[in-house]
Amino acid sequence: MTTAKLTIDSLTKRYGPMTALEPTSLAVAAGEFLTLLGPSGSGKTTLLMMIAGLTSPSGGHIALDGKDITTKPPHARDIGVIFQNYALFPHLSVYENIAFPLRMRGRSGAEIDHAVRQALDLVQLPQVAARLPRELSGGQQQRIAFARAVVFRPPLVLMDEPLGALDKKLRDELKFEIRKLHRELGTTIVYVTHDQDEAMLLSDRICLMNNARIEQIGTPADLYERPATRFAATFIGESNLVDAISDGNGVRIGDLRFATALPERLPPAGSPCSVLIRPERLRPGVAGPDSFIATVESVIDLGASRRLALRLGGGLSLSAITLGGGRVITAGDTVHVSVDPSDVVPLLGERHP
Amino acid sequence: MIAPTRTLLLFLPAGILLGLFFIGPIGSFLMQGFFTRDGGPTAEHLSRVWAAGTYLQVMAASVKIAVWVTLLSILAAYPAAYVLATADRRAKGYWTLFILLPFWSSFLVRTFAWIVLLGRQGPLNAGLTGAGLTEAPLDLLYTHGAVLIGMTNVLVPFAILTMVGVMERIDRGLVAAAGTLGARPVQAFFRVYLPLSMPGVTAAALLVFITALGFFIAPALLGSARETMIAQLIIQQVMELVNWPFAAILCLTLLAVALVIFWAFDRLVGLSTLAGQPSGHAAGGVMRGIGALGIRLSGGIGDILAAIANRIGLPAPLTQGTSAPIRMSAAVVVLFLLVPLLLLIPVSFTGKTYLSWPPVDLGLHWYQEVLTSPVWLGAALRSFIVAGLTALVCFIVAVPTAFAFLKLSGRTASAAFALMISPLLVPRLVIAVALFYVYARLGLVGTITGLVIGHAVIALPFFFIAVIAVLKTYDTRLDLAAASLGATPWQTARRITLPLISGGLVSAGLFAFVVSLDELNIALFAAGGLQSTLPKLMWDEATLRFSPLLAAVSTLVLIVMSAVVLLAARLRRI
Amino acid sequence: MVRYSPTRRHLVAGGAALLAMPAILRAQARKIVVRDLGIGTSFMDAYGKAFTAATGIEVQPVTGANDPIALIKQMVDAKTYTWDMSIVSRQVANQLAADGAGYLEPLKIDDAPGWKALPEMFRSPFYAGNDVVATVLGYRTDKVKTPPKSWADFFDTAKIPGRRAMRRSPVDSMEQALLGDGVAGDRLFPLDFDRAYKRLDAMKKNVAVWWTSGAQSTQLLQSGEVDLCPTWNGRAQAAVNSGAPVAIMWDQALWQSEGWAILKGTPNADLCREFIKFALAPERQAIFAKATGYGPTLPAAINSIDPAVAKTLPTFPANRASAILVDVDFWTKNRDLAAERFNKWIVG
Repeated sequence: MTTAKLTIDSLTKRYGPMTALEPTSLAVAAGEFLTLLGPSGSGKTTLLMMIAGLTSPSGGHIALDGKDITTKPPHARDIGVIFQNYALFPHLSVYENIAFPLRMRGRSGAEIDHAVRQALDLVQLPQVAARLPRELSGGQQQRIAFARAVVFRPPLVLMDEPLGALDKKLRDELKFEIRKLHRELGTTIVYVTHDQDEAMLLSDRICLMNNARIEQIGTPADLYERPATRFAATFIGESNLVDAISDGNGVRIGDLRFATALPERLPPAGSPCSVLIRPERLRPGVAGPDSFIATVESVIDLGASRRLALRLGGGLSLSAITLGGGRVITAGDTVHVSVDPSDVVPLLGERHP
Repeated sequence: MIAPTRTLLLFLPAGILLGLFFIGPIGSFLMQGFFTRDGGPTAEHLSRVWAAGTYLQVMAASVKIAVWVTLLSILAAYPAAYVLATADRRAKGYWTLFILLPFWSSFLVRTFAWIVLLGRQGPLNAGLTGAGLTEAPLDLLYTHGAVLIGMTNVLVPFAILTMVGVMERIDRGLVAAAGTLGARPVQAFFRVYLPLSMPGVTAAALLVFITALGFFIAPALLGSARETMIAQLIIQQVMELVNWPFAAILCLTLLAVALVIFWAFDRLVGLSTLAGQPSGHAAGGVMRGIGALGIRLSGGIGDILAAIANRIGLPAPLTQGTSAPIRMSAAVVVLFLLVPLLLLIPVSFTGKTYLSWPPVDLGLHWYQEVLTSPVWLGAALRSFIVAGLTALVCFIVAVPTAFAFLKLSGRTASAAFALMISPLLVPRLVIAVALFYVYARLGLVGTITGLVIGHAVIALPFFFIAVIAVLKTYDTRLDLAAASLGATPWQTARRITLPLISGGLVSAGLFAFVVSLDELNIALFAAGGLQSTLPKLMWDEATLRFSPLLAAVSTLVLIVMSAVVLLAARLRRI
Repeated sequence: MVRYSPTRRHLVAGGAALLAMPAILRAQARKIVVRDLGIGTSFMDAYGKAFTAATGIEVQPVTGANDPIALIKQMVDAKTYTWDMSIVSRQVANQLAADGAGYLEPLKIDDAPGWKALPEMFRSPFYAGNDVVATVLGYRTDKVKTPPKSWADFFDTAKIPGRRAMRRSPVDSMEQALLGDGVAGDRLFPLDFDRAYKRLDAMKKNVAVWWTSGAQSTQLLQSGEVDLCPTWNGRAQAAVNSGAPVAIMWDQALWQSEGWAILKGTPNADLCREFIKFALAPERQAIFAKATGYGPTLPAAINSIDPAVAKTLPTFPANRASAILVDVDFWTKNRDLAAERFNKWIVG
């Protein structure tokens, strides 16, 4: 990790008795794509708006490139922002929208023209320069908003659910485009979304937020493979959450025992704990040293995948997902199921029970 | 899709009202301008207008005054509308109350208040000489300035209401976005907010200009001879000289000016902005050019101001929201609106027999006179009944039309809109005079019905504009949902649509109510003076006595109307 | 579509019948509607109540501002008698009687004692004078130290300094300008407009206010907005009565009369004749004069008025010495063009 581009230190926002953001600290590296992921009301947009300077914090500090910008007005921050509804100026042409930040910075006409053309090329819409925003499709508007936010080469770009208003197909398309643009420009991006797929695909790191605070920060793999809390485990991906008892280096569930690759997360032997097993990590039909017997209660064939409901001894139910095709398992079958110790993830206790 | 005949049917009530009691009478009145007294066709009256020169000179002076009043009204209304549009709910309630307060008092009485305020012995001059700023009292009254002040005072609330509709629809996020792109607040305002609020500004300007063009009481009472307006000459022709053909020609001149302005406005901005809607049709080449120029000009101003702010190191506010200077200027505007009302309250307690400053021998004498006078109480009752019925007629006529209107588009929509607001174009006096003939034939002279119909014609444009503004925000999919659940169109309207838009309808009804309550001309000219309304009695009182009774009546009406408005606000909340 | 909509004619006819009810009901009662000047309750106090008491005929007063000439023509043309009769100025009466087929009913009350006592100058076949309105000069006694004695004094700003107002109308201001320029009262008519405008040109810069309504002129004097203001004597008297330091110059008072006229064709014409006969009585006029400040037309009336009040009336002997009767027929002929010229002059 290189030097921090953006540093957030104990940043807080309160509206009267309501807390929109608990004191929060965070560092974003130069060139990093950080996603603030969380359900609505988790404080992610509040945090973003405070970085942009559109909401004033109740406490704490924000520094960009090592300089404190906490009290700087938005226009002096040099941060590009893409709003959820794009906030394109309806009375200005696409060209003038993109030129706007350059004009604000007093650039020369030739310079502006060059930069705007370049930005339009970047988002592959050179032909719409003269149009008004309302004459563009949603996806086009989104791209223009992106071009406008990066045309002045801001050291940091903030994106507030930029794909939220688009249909799924367009969203999937643009996700990849944003990823590509980020690679090309090398800009630092802080991105807000409630969509885990977007977060997984785009981010270098994900900052998962819940209840006005950070739940967990890590790479997408970290969050998926090793979620720290119940919330993290359920918010990202599908999950089997099981109550278990620690035995020091593994867990007991009823009369079954599972080894885990993360024994350091376990509470002292004999204490209860929660364990996550991702459904696709259960391998039905594979016998091994640690495998156990399960009854298949139902099978849903989804073509590409197959979803099984498994009943284990002691009344424990787990869901499993396998690839489609291959050997057919039907309801009523009794199968061996095995799971790798690295896929048995003990969760840390919830921090606010 | 609604069948065309059904849509037309919805226009029927409005068509009947306007055809029978507006277009027909006005048309035949104006036609007189081209005939001699014996009925032969002639261009004599028309050529006289050109030959005499005076009329064109007065017309030009009227346009000049109207332009000034429009400019001043827009400048005054803008900050107030801005604050109103951006305030949070609670603050909005207070601002609305204060801004609308002048509406609940007669414009006639407010004009008289200015006579007292600006007079040589008035409080303003007393203050100036008392403070030693001037030795002798200044000539404030009977000047160009006095006319502008009096007219602006009356018209600013209309401008505010028109602008607020558009401003409330401006996405606040755009200003925030401009900030993140490097625009100082002042630049963001001039480059983004101001251009986006222009449809509201132009609509307000149009309303104010057309209304100002037809003024005759304020220039007569507050101005010098130079501030003679064309409506005064029309009245002179109608009432004193009884030269109706010539009056008709003068009216046509006035109408022509108004129509040219309307036409230009429709071409450039689109009539639908009058209802607080964003521009109806995409502007063509010329307009786009003008628009771009305006945007650039406004942007330039913003840049210069921002540069100045940078130079002197003015700190920019960190948070969004209305800045203190704007709130201050809005407060000053509100004060300006309230001054005549505030003056009248103390004056109403004076023991003197004429409107004057300062009030002396305070007592309730004038209130006693009003409240024990069957004439005044009867007129008040009649006025309130007529105003209520006027709102009802507007409701019956305009609500179906408004629904039908929203299904129209393009030229048909423009034409329908122009029809509905056409009574705004014609000076009320002319409507009243023309109505008399129709009333005489139908036996409506001197009846409550006659008053109600006349008032409804005059209040219809205001009601219609207000209803359209509400209906545009209504989600018509709810109607489709109701229909899919088996509701007939009538059931849908009664159980779904009307309850949902009832708040807006109450506002629109209140608008019509107030316009009726303050309407003088119909009672004066079309009712034969037989059915005295409150404004008619006030007018008599003002032209005959100029007594503090006016102040007492005005204060009483203010109290009653405030109660009505607060009640309506309560109803809206439920 | 036809199925849904009643035809327009049905609506109108049905509506009209329904809405016209009040007018129909009114016609059956023994009642007259009289447009009066609206000065307080003076009309009903002097005439209306007593007439009803004496005859049982009900009187409904209607206040109409300005000259009611347009309204009367409308009513007669449309045969809609919202009013049956009216107080009008002599000029309006003459004009209404002369225009077109005539808009007034002949009075034909020649045998009534009141009519016989009425001086010639206050009556015509269509008109019976009720009161005299004098245009006089009101002035502030606290500011004007030398009481003006003629219109020439009013126009002499060097002799009598002070802020001045005039009426924004050719009527009165033309006469005043000519008298101010030295024309003798008995040679005033026909008015020499050119000479009048010449005098007014020189005066224009000294006139601070051109008033348009009577109440406005009262207010100008009451509030001290101006120091000298020509106006109708009742208006000036109202300022005096309100306690303001105002006095009236009676010299060269310009007389016009106002009186009764009946709208041509009204079904109540005979009831109106009864009313006029009743109203032409000295004791009734005396009450009216006391309340309004306008002079009674019947010579006998002035004697039954309290001397303190009588001396404020135009027809009081001392006040009428140099009075000039305005030639209303001259104005009827010239008013239209005079108004145009005056408008042109005043906005120029």
